Amino acid sequence: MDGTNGFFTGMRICASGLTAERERMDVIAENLANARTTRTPDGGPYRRKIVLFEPILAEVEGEERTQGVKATHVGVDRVTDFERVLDPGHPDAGPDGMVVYPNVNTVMEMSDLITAMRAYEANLTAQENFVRMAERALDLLR
Amino acid sequence: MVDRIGKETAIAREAMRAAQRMVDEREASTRSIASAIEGAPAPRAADFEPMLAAGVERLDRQVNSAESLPIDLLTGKVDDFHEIAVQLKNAELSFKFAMEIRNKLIDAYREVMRMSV
Repeated sequence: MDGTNGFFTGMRICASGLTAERERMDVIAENLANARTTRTPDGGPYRRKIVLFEPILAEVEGEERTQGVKATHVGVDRVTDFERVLDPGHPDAGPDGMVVYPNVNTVMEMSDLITAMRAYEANLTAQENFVRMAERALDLLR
Repeated sequence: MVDRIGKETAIAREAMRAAQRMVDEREASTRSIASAIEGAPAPRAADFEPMLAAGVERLDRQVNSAESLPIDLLTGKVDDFHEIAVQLKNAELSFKFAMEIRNKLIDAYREVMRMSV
């Protein structure tokens, strides 16, 4: 571990937050894009995906500490019901004329997207502050 | 009269020694900071020139590694823009830090050279 790592730890934590939020936005984008997907390789309509975050564990001076966040899994929402719409002409309509659409609620995804964006911005702001702190500290040397 | 001159030279010598001590102390502190940057063991020789050369070499390494980062992004080795931005910023801060230390060293050197004997 080199000497400045301690100083840049905060910046790395922020960067991990940025990466995690970016991945969350990727998953939300996928949900939005597949909001009307009625057939998937697994059969049935697309299921809403949810990204799962976990803290990064790092060994610092012999003890385990959390250092940042990581998007580890992409889970699938199997609880929320599919949307059923009567459309007998649809190629994927069942015998009763009902088409099963994904359990993606576009409005909810959009609000999730806003949350992810705000979280991304919060991490960026923290990052900027770390940089500003470092630069102010360097001014001491002048 | 001769006594007086002798006394004054003694005082001047004492002042020189004090200045040398100050420079040594300053070098020791800058060295500890410089070694903190790289995590490398502090160079043992108190010589000014090798220390400066080592610092410049370190800067060169840092700048070179920072230069390859955008290429990594363009060639798809790194996924995130912010990853590059953060690493570039880290390199820039280290560079600035090293530059400040270099300036301090040169200032100390000039201070000594300017001293009238």
